[in-house]
Amino acid sequence: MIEVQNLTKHYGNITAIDQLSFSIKPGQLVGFLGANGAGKTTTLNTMAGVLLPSSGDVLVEGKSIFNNLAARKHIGYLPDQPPLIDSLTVREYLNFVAQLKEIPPREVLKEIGRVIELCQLHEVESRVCAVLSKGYRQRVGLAQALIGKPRCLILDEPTVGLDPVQIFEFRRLLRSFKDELSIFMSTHILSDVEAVCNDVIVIDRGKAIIQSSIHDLLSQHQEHQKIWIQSSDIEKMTAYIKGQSQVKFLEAKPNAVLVELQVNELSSQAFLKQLVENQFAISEYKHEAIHLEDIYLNLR
Amino acid sequence: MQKAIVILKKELKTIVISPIFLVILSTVAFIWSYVFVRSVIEFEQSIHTESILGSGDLQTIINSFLSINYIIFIFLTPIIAMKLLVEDKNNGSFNLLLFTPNSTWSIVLGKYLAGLCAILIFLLVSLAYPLGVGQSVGFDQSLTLTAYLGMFFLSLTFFSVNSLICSFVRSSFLAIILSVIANIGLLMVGDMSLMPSNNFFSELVMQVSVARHFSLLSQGAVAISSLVFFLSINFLCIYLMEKVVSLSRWK
Repeated sequence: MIEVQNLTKHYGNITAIDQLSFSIKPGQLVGFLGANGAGKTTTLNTMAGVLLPSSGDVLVEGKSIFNNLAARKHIGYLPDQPPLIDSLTVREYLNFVAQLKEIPPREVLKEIGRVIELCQLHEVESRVCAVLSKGYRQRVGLAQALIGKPRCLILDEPTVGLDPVQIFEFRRLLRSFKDELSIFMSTHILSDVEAVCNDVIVIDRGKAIIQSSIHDLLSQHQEHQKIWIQSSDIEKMTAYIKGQSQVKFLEAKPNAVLVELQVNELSSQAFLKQLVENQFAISEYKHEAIHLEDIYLNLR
Repeated sequence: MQKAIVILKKELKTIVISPIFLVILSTVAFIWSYVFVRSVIEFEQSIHTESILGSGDLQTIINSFLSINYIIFIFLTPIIAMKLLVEDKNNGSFNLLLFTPNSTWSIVLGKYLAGLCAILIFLLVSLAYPLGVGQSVGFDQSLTLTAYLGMFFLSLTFFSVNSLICSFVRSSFLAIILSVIANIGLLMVGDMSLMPSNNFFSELVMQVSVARHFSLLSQGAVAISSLVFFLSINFLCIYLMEKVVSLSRWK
């Protein structure tokens, strides 16, 4: 388990992280969201030991990573720019990382083989890092993070710059680790969080403003339900909806209208029934699913 | 120390096999060949015209060769220091050393030892000229080796100061410019022509003059004080580099 305790980081007068506390349990996949400059990368760099905090601590299995170098072996980190060494081949690079992570010499080959297999790097293992595509660079970066079987993987915007196929592959790869380790992933791509993570932390100006499971977060926001209603008489229907206090008119198209309901006050079924009773012809209706993106945008 | 060796091996692998290193080594070797051959030809002409003989005069070839080395290392050590530190910081691979379980001492020592080895490679290639020719013409080999010991310490001192500068800056261009200025500045400290008349201050400056200690070694005087002086500067720079790298984690 990794515990972040009252982590604070000042850059001169600027507070990048302010008393941030959370814990990541084994097997937990946590998405870390926030706008540019919210303190995400500083938090990740501090959790990985690249930066030292102004105050607070990061504990792995109860040991501080700042006072105990061995505790850092349990953390695998993939920064936003994969820390590859362009002049080395993928295998040479992984060998170097294995030595830095103090893998016993007799186990180095086996460990490299394991991460090459996990990240599917067979094709490129003899190529120098300089010639790798963005997708492979990211995979090699992930492979270095996985060396030494860390308990927690910290990823900083791992899918930025990847094409849709590469993103799909990368997400699949991350999901495949869920039984072996916990993942803490910072990203701007909210669909990444929905696809990979089960928990989310949202940070703003260095402070956590949301810490919740994605399921709970979506359920909480299901109380605001959006419905597209198709009808032949949109003008009349729009006028009717605008007169209802429990319904919020959002948008109208030539043959459809988008409304938002407070589910605890009026269910969608009750509202549709009400429309039919008022002689509105409804040809089709569609619930608009709530996404993390909607919740995140509402926060701003 | 084990981690420092791991870092040293990786740095040597990346530096020595890099095309830039080979291009620089080839260029420098070309300059050495040209200067050495020219010095030998000039010496032969002086024998014909003045009938001068003796190993003492042959040593002038070594001295002119060393003075070229001197200039080459003013520009070479900044490039080595920049490659080892600034480029690593810019491409993110320096962070790899910070987030894996390494002490800052092992990082700094690994980089320093890699620079030392790169300098040794250049010096050994350069030494092949006087040693190879000296065997047949009768140079004073011990004097040549002492002069090269001085050259080694001088270039190592350049490198340690340059590495300290590179640990502060992120721009490759700025790192090289500042390092070259620092190297020239180091040589100017204690320059007799720039010194005021004899007083306590000038005496003190002479004691900390890199040029003077190098000059003593290149004349064959292996003074313990000179070795201690060069080693002290190197230790001080390594110590300060460690502090700079540690402090950079707070920023």
